[in-house]
Amino acid sequence: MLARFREAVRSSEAVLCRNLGVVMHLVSSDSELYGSFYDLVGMGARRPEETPIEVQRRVADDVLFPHYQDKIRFLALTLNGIGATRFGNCSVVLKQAAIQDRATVFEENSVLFAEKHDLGARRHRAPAGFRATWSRRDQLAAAKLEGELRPDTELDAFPGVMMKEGATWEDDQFIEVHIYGPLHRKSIARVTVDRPKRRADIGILQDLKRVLRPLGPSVDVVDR
Amino acid sequence: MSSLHLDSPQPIPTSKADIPYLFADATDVVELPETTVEKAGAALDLSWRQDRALHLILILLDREADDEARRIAVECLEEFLADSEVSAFVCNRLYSAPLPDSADMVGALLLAESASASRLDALLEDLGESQAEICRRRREWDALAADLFDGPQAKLGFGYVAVTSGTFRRVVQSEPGQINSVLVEGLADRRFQRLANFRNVLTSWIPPVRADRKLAQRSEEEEEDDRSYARTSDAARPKRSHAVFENVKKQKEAIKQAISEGRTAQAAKYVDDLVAYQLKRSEREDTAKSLCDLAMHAKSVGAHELQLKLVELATKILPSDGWSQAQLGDALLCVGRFSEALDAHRTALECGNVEVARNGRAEVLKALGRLDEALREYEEVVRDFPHNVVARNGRAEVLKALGRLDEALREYEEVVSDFPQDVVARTGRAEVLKALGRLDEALREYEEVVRDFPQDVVARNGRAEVLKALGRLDEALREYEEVVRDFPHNVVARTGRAEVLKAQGRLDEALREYEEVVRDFPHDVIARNGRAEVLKALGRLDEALREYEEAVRDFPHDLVAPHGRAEVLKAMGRLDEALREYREILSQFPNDSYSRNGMASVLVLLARYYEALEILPQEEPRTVDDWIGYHIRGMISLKTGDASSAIDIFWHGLHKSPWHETRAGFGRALAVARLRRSEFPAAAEALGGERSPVSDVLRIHAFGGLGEIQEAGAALERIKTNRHPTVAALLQELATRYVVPGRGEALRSDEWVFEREFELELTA
Repeated sequence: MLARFREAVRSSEAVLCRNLGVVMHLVSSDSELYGSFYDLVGMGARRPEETPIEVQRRVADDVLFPHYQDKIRFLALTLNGIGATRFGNCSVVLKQAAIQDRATVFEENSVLFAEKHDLGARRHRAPAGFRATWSRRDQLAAAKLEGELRPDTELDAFPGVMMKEGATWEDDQFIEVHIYGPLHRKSIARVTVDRPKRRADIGILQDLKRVLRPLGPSVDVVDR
Repeated sequence: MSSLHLDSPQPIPTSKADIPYLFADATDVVELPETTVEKAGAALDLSWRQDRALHLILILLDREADDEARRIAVECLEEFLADSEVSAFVCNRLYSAPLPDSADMVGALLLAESASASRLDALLEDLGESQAEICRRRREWDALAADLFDGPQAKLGFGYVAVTSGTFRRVVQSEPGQINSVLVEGLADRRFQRLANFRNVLTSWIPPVRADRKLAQRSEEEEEDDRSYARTSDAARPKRSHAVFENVKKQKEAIKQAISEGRTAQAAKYVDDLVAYQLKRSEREDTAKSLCDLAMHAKSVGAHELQLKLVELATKILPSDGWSQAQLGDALLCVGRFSEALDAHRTALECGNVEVARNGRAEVLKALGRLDEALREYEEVVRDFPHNVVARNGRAEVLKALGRLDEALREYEEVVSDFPQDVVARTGRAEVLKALGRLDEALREYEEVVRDFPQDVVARNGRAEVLKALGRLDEALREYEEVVRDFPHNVVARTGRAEVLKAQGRLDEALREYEEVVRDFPHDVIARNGRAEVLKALGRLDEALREYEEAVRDFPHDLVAPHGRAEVLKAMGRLDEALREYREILSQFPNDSYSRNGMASVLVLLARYYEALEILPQEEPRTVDDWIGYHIRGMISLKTGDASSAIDIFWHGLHKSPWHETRAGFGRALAVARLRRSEFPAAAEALGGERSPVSDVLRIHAFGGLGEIQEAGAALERIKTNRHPTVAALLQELATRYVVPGRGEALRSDEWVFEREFELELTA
């Protein structure tokens, strides 16, 4: 059973969840219109670092990503292309080739991990065994989740073993993916979107499909 | 801690662990200190609508967006814009930079109008009218000295505040008398006050306007006149006219690009939008002019069917416009509908567009081969309108088509003397010099034209073509490649490049090039014929014939396709059909020297030598067709046993003909004559460095006879895949004699070999 799980994880992918507007902005990066009005003048430079909330995250980042924390993007590992949708109704799966040389996986949400292991004032290094390179993600997943597997666990249950999404953070369970560097629309393998309820989002989704079409990624709409 | 989601009624418990995911790469974080859940929810809802409105207006302005997405955008925007905070958010951004050229304002306005979205329509109209001012203010902002700020990031941050506070928009929208108020507001705004050097930055960008005492003393009447004028639509008219002009210009650019790229359906859609937009806002003449301008562009890229549709639409909109009718005549000429073209020019004449109509009529007569009538028509126009340079050039061109090259040259020289800046006359003169075989002079002429008119693609292509004619193939190729780089949509350069590759013996590359040109320019008959010719050179005769037959069907008035078809039939040995083809062409175009030569060569293959001699020219050769005729004379001498005369003719042609291509033919013919006498060294020398399937066959024979097996083998390797039946038969014999191990055994007689080589050269 463990061997089957590890084999499945070798095909796992990195997924991020964002809202439709953010994804649209990401895929329109080469558009003259977006460049004129969304990037250069519209959305300015007001970054999360400038907010008080951001201070709380710093402890984990300083220990886990010393000196380069601002370059890290946080994603999750998925077996079915769906991410933690409470962070956004679009799950964007990235291409292996675009990330395999600059991605690592981590046992769990790094902020929770930092709290559990008392990282910061008392402990300046993360304990070994909780981080792996992309190519060894199956080993980390096996080490973490072996206990959740039963002899009769079905293959189609594996995605739920890998990622549990609850209504709140307390019920969540996933393997975190850390990617160094920016994301570009050409890194996208496919997008899964919750069927939009609002007319404006229907229009934007229509355009998202049109923009991605020549690049190759599929856009699937699901009802959840 | 908890978070709010737009579609969830209750806050959701959240931890700091969610922060990297919730905020991610957000750059628009807004702090709401001391707020309540309800207020946060309302702020979230507003932010969502603002964000979506901005996305939707960008979709609406995006020419490439689907119609469905744009229609939804119109619907939603009309609703969102009812909220002034959403409208301000969107406008603050849209007024901060000019719309890129690719933005489709025309399409956006039409969609808003058709949905009766009055708020959106008003926003777009105002935005369109403000483009010039937005451009100016953006330029002024960008030009602000770097030392006013603490670095590039600081300038970005300042700009962000200028946009989001609405200051940028107010600066654009303010009348001169209001600008001081905008400056004062900015100076008092705390968001600016937090930024370093804010006073200097704002006053540099928005210099205060000083009131003029003289102006202040204007009379009350003058003030009242101004106020009254401002209330009339006339005041708004110049701004609105300029906006319409700019929108039309951008739309036309987008149409031209679509036409150049072969996106015909998209071009047609943009044209429909343009017509719908322009008819409502301009005079009908303006719309007809736009369409004619677009038609001329379509013509320049060879899209003649589209050219015709555009001018047909122009004449429907304004049937009494002589210019549109003349353009219709030209378009009909381009698609080979000659009698309709003549009718259109007659209508243009009746509408009063005399010169253009009469020139157009002459052009049609020339295309019909009625050269004497064409000449008369041009002469009458020149008599009645001596300053009409088009008629003067047209007359010269007809003289050239009649083979009256000296007169044509004199004509062009007079035009150049009277109109030294007329590039058509200068390139026309160069072409006549080339036709006369005065290639060095033609090259000099083209070089001067290119120096004086570096953007004239005809001159650039002409120069490349003369280099090719001179046999300077590497230079010709470089020249064409530069033209293709500078004018990527020019089909003449692309086909020219293919022809040079073919002349260099690089037949596979030439074929690939032609196939790409045909794909990009499906209406170009030269590309279609060129592809057929390369297939023939590769020995793929059935495909070549099919290609020519399709070209004849698709371009019924083109002369090259029937020539090509006749030549392929000749190469296939279907000599009676080839002869019939040539007779047919000559019955319509009796001056066609190419067909005359073609027919002569068929008669030679049929051993009807005297008939061939009768139709060949007797004079000293001057033009390229004269030299080809001379070559055929030589072949007749060779076949009828007068080898010495044949060798004299071939030697003379090899050394005296100005054209590389004909010199190559004389070289090959000389090699055939030498090989008949087993004069192998002389045969090899006659071939020189020329690369073609026929020359490689002869090379195998010459070098094989010399015992230079490596050279013979190399030539064999180059053409072993050629499918021409005569080539294949010769390769088998020559390889057996000279190349394969245990060689030396002849399967066929020497006479058989000579007959095949003779036939190959005459059908090359």
